Amino acid sequence: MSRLTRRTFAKLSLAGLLSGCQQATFGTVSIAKTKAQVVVVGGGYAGATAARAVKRFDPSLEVVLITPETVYATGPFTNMVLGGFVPPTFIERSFADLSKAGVKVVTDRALRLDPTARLIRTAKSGTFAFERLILAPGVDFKFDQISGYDESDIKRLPHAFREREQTALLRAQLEAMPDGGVFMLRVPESPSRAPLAPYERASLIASYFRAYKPASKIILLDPKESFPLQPLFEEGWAKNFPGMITHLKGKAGQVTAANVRGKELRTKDGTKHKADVINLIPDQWASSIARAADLTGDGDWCAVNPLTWESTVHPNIHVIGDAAHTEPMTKTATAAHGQALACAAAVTALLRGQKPEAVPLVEASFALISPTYGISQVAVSTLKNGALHAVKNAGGISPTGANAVFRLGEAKQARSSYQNLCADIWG
Amino acid sequence: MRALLLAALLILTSFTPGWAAERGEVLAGTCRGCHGLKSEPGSPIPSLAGMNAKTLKAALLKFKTNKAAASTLMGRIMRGYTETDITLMANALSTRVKR
Repeated sequence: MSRLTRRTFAKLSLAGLLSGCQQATFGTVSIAKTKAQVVVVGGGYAGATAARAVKRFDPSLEVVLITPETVYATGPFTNMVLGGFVPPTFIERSFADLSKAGVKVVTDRALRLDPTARLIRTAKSGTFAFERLILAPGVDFKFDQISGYDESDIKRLPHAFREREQTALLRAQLEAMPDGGVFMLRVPESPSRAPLAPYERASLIASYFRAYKPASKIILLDPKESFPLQPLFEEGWAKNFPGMITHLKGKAGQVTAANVRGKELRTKDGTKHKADVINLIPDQWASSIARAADLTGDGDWCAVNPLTWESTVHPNIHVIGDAAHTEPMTKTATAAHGQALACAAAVTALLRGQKPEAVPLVEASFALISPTYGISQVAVSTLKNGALHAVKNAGGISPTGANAVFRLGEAKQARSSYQNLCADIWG
Repeated sequence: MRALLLAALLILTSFTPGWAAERGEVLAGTCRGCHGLKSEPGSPIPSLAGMNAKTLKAALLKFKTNKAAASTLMGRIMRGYTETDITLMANALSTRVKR
């Protein structure tokens, strides 16, 4: 993207407006300007849900969904792909059904947002004007937190935490690893996308090792002292793969430096850890399009009014899903889905001049320790004095000490809920 | 006759303009984060297909008050909702499920 100042950008957009034919050319930058009442950026759980819901709540609204690829690979069940238990196509979704529902789907990358002029520029499809924008761009990685490691190293040390190619790469490395090898996973700092995912990933790769490479070991390098569903994960690891997973926490798990070619990570306590395959999941923050438009202020995430999910920095811009500051809700699929529904209802109401009301939102997360051993967590959040709070007496994790039938039931529920949620969103 | 009246009432409420309808839609929408609306025999997560508002509301209230025969996580979820919201949720869901 060329470095345009906001003012130049606004002028260019204005040129597009004034030209009358809605097409203006400035140097090599072609500006086709399209007006939609609601533009949604991002075709993941948050964005796709919001686009469909706005169209359903008010079919007379023109809704444009800008999403970078024709195929979206879901975060949930990525770990099942990594374990080799489902094919990569299992997690792929298309946007055909959203188009059928009346959403105008634009396959393109949203490059720049001008919150004042209410314009969003894409790579190839020109500029879109909107009355209200729902921004669901997800996270970007911080590649400058570990000495000796940067973005150019993601082929050697894949993060496998977003793009399909990354998932395929890590899977290939795991398949090529000899039995008796060491797989090392660097857990990101909180908050991050899918907080259960690193632990589920270690579990499902352990399941793969147990079946095909039983002499192999797994090292989890984790800057946190505790993690969600810890008793359930630890019980599951002890039952299913005793001795296979070493979990180093706090200073002992905080990665400070990497020797990429030597496949070695150093932790804050000075220890060097060598592995055959390294999955380095970097720390995360809101995607660059949100940060460039100042939506994150001084922080990493976009502050929003949790009643409408409208940015507290720029009006008419709503941020949902992983890029938003959503605590106590975590950055999970069902959280994004619920936020998107609430946001869509609020946006429709605001466009009609109505006043939105607070609605409780539920978050249900399953994790698989093996394809037949599931665990879960639920939480209900509601608005109180302008902020989201977890509802007391609701929520919690599934019981420890449950028998194999119970765990099989949760594993089946994990798969079923995943498919039902995906069907609700992408059709 | 009662069923007809109930159905008519449901249709009316589902078309209520303004926020009540949307509130119900959002409440019901979060259920679809796990539950399917089509009939799926043998599904580990019960499908909501074929349920009317009354059955749904009664079932959800049982979870809320810990009177359900079995609950893995529904009890922990429904305790987060008021009876009013459960009614709205059940009404909105019943208009979406396949019969």
